[in-house]
Amino acid sequence: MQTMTWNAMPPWALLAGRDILKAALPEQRLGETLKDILSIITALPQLDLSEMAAIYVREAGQDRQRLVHHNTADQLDLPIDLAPGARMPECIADRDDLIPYRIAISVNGDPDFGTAVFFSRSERPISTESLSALHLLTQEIGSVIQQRSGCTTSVLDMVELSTDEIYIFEPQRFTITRTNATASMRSGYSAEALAGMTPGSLKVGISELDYQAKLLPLVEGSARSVTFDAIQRRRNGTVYPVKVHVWRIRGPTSDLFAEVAIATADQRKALGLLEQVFDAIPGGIGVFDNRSRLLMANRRLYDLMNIPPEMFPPGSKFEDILRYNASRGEWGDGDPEAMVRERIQQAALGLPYSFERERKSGKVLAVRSEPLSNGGYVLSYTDITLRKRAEKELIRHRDALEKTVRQRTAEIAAQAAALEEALQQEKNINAMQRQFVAMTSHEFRTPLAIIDGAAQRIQRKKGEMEARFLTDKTQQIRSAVSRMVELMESFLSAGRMDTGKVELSLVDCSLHKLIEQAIKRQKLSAQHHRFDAEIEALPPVIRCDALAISQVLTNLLSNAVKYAPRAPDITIRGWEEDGFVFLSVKDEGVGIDADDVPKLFQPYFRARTSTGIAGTGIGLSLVKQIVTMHDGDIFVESERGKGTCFTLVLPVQGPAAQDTAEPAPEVSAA
Amino acid sequence: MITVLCVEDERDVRELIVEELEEAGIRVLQAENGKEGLDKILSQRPDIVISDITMPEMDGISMLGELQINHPQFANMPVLFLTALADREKMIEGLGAGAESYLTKPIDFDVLMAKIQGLVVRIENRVTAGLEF
Repeated sequence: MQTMTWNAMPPWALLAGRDILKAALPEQRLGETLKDILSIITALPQLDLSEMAAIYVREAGQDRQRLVHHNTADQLDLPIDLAPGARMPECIADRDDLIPYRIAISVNGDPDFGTAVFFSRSERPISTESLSALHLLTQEIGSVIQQRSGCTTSVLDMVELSTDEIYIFEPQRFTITRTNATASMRSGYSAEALAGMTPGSLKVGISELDYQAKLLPLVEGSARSVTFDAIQRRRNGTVYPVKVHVWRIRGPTSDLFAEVAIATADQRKALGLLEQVFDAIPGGIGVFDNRSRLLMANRRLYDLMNIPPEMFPPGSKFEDILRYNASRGEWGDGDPEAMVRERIQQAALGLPYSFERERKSGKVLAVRSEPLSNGGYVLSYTDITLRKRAEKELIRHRDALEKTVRQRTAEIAAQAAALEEALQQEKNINAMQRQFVAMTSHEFRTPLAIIDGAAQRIQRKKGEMEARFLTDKTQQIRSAVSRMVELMESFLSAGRMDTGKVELSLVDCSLHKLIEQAIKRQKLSAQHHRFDAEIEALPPVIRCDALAISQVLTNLLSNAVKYAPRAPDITIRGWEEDGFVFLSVKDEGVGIDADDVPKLFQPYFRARTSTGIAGTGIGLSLVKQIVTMHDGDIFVESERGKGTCFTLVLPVQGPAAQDTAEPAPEVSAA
Repeated sequence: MITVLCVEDERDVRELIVEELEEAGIRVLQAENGKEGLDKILSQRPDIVISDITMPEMDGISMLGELQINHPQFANMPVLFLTALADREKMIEGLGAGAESYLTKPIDFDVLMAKIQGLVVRIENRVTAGLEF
């Protein structure tokens, strides 16, 4: 039978079959066309077939075969389920009155592409020639199916992928039972929302009843299909014109109606425009249906995802695209399947999402998914490499700027702090100066008052003076003058100390002697005070500037007297410890407030308890400076009202760095 | 006879004032600081007080303040400040506290004695007029 030629076929049948098949291509309604062809073939008297024929193709990835279409088998009352999609039964027609002919469909070297089954009446088996003709027709049908729908796509897939809207509904209440992705995409309703609606409700301008009336020939069985123009309505209220074809088709249990709404030329023009717009968009756009199949994509999407368009045409599964990307390491290391699953799950959530991704090439992509109302989604890819680079540059710049600002702020803060400190110091100096001026004026005025007072007294005597009176006044004047000289000397010493001009003249001398001399001097002016000195534990000699240390001792003793006017006992103790001499001078006088103690050695500072007691605030600051120059120190213990104890510490060997000093310091030991 | 209390911590200054007053035939009491002065005022009731301001234990202005607040019976007793504090602020403070006069050191004995003599006349007139204070 392989030797059969086209000549054996009735030429009109072959032509008709091929013409019908070709016509079916642009109309994209393969199922109905196949049904027509099968009807024509079984009706050919030359072939002697019954009215029954069916075509099966192999299920995707399966050994089983699935029914694509058949003709009017119902009239033959066959004991087999022949709804579209049904599997090829083992015993397709176990009937005495029918002989089945199974003809393998082999396409492009695939011998198992499918099977066509024809039936003849058992009393009239078909001739060998007829069988050869059937072979040829069958192969023709096979190649058309393959051309149209891909080698393993079933009819349902074809319905699904049809670029026309398809609504399948039952003929009693016209309730929609099945739709395809295009229906959802154009109408804006999800498949779930469409199920239960009627096709009439999706029309504008004709009522439900009008629509049903148009389908009357189908209901009555007087026509197999009806065609009319209508206006289709979208969920969002917009409308578009369609040509409507409604077919009566065979369902699993009963007949169904199938409406195919074909967008008119205007609509197709709009679609074409949409495609152009798609391609003009700088980013990549891909529209996926609710089963994650690619419906539409622009060229840029393939460029940006770096996938070959011929590998993933419309109809490709999102999952396969993802898998392709995962397998070539686009997303880095990791289990490709796990990464694919993760992304599929995300897409399945039906929520908008976006992320940025850097590709291996360094290109940065912004990926964004927006869900569609029909359960599909739009995926967009934008190349943001330049923007990212600019952003990074901007961040780097900003960071650098912030750093500079922080540095400058810190500098300014430091300057402000330094300024504030300087200002405070200035204020302190000013306050000290005012205090100094007031103190000086007071301290000078008192001896001056004595001198002037004594002179006035002498003057008022007018020559009648006793010798004793004169001696008395002279003594007062001299004592006041020496007090002023002392005052002046102490100012001068302080001034010299401040300018750092004083150098120590170190000699080995007896501290005992210096102490005793100081006590003696003090006794002259403090007749009421008692000095108790225990200084035997002191070393015989220490190295120091004798004059300066004398002044220190004088100052400490005169302070003890001055600030303890009512407490006559002054205790002096001296001892040696680890190469240092310790000397304490203790009184039981007015004492010093605790918060005044830290300021005690500042020049011109006078403790609050010193109010009313003559003094310059110079003495202790001088003491501190002299002691410091000797590498020694001085400590104070005091309590208001209880008395004060100053403890002097000096190195026995004298100051470390100081060798011999030439000029003797002009410090007064008064 | 008029009694003057001299409150002064500087022994030599006090001595000069006391001599001058005594030579003028005035009875003089002495105190070394404000606290002692206050005791003498309360116990001896002098007619006039000459007081230093800067003194240990209690200064002159505090002493005057103490009198004003707690011993109003001495409100009419004249208190003269004689101080080395020559600045204007201190003078205002002293006079504001109720001092009769604010004299500064060095002491001009002519001025001091004139002031005392004037007060003595005023006090004697008052006594004559029966206006005891």
